Amino acid sequence: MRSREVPERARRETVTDDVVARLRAGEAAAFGVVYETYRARVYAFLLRLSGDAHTASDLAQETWLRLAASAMRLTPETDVGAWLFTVARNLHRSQRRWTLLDRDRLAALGLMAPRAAASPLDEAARDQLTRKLEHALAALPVRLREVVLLSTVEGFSAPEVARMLQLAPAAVRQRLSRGRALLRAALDHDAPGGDDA
Amino acid sequence: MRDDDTDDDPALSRALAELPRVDMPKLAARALRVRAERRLDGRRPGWLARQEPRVLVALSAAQLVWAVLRVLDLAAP
Repeated sequence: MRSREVPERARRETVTDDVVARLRAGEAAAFGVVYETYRARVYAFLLRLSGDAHTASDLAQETWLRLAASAMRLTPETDVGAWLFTVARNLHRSQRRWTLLDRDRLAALGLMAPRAAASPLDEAARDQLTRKLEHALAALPVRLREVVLLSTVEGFSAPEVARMLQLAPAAVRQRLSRGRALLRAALDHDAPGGDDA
Repeated sequence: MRDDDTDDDPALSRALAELPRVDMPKLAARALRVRAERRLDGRRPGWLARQEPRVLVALSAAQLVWAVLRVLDLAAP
């Protein structure tokens, strides 16, 4: 086994303490830097969590408006990336509770809307493996999916993810291991020579 | 996951790390940035905004005085 690495893309894209200090002073240019650095990451995270472009867009808007409203209350040590992903995840969690209630009500009335045919994730997938991986991710339970996304896709460490999700690091590692095992099983199952071949 | 953990499947880690980054539509992203920056700016109240409560109190008081004077004027023989 070898050391698990931070994805190169996530490692590159962070903001400096100077930008955080300027953001705390309410400087719009600093907000712009943070926005351009994290916008796509936060949106893609929410899209993979929710599986719906409209929901992801609404939650991303709320996340950024909250940053604008709270910028002056950040501390100098704040990791803006972790702050954004924590807010985004919590917003999704709370939105999901309401959606589940609504779905139950709609199902009871026989008014469930059909799911959209093609997701933006399907459209963006470059190859078959990526498409399968997106589908396998979407099929993971949300509590496992959020850990896989934050750690393996976004490159946060176990203690960081634990702080973001308010879990013990051991619980994060356990969820990550379970999530990865399910992903591997889904990919193996679909592969030629897999279980169904 | 960072170096405090080990990787049991580097190919899976790589595939996950290389998932395409889907972005918001450009127009929506631009509109959101403008809206958020406006809110950020709104959190820094200018001189006029700081004076607003005082101006409102002064206008209300002036209106009250005017109404009293008007009533007294009508009541006068």
